[in-house]
Amino acid sequence: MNRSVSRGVRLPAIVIAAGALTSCASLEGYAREPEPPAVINTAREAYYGAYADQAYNAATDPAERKRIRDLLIYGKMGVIEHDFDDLERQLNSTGNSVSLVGDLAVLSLSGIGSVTGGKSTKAALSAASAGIVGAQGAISKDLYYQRTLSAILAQMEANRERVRATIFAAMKKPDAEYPLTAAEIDLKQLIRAGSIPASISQITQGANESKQNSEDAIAALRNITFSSAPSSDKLGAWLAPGSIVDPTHTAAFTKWIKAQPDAAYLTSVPFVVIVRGPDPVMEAVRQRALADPKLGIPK
Amino acid sequence: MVCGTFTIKGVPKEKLAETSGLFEANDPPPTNVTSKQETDGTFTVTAVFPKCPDATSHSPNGH
Repeated sequence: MNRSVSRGVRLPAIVIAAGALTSCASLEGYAREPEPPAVINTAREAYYGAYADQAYNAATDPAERKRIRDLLIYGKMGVIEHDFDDLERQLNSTGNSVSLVGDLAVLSLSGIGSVTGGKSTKAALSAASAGIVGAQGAISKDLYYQRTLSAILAQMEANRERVRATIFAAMKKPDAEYPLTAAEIDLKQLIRAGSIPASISQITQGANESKQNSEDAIAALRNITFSSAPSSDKLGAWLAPGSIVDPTHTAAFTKWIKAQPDAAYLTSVPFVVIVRGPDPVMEAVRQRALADPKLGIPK
Repeated sequence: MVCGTFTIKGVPKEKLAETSGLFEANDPPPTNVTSKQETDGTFTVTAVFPKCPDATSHSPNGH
């Protein structure tokens, strides 16, 4: 009797402990921000408030206008940087907390169910565990989001770096050539560069370009001129000694191609194109094959 | 996955059997391999593999 009561108390305690561990842990991975929110709000009002550009608009001396313009640009950029940091923290903490809490809860319930309790305890724990696993399935978008997060953030940083460089280069110009209104347009670009849609769009565009490059490379190999390079002749003689195809060697070569890091590309062309293709890429693949002891092609 | 048509031109007569044979030995194999002698005495070997999926844009002639 006592044992069952004690077990009944102990099990939820372990589950709660797992939850507490996840909720107490620092999940963002960022140092605390030094500025209190009030400071940021003051800066926001100073650089984006209704009267933020008043001094600039009132100034008539070109040098003074440039000085005020530069100060305003730096101040506005500071606010944009802070907002981006906030977004980055939120993205990271959301992705981490969703999966960590879920994973630890499943681990604790499954672990307890397998080692303790009678039939009814095991059944209850198993049902609870299944529920959490099901809930994790329902939030699969969060897991997907977490896995792609680093790529999205890296792209955001790259986009923002590009816009920042443009702004800093433009700030070297006099106010007449780069007035505050022009800087405002670039600053809006900086905000957009740190957005998720812009980042995904850039990543997609990069992937499409990469796919297109690969397809163009394959298209170029559809019509080739026979290569009589020493590497071609050596590989050809090994695959088809005396012009008779050696099935053992061709099978070994096919297997070798599939194990290469660029297999996706190489398996898109007949292997005779690798053997007789005149371009430097095929030459490099042949050299790799000739040097690989796994194939054992005579020197 | 190999798809569409591949052509090797300038194949010397003594390498014709090797080139055609290596095309035939591909996995998957081509549906057809033909050779044609050019005026300079070399051969042009053409191998036709299964048609490329519609999404593949590197097959302008539909093969």
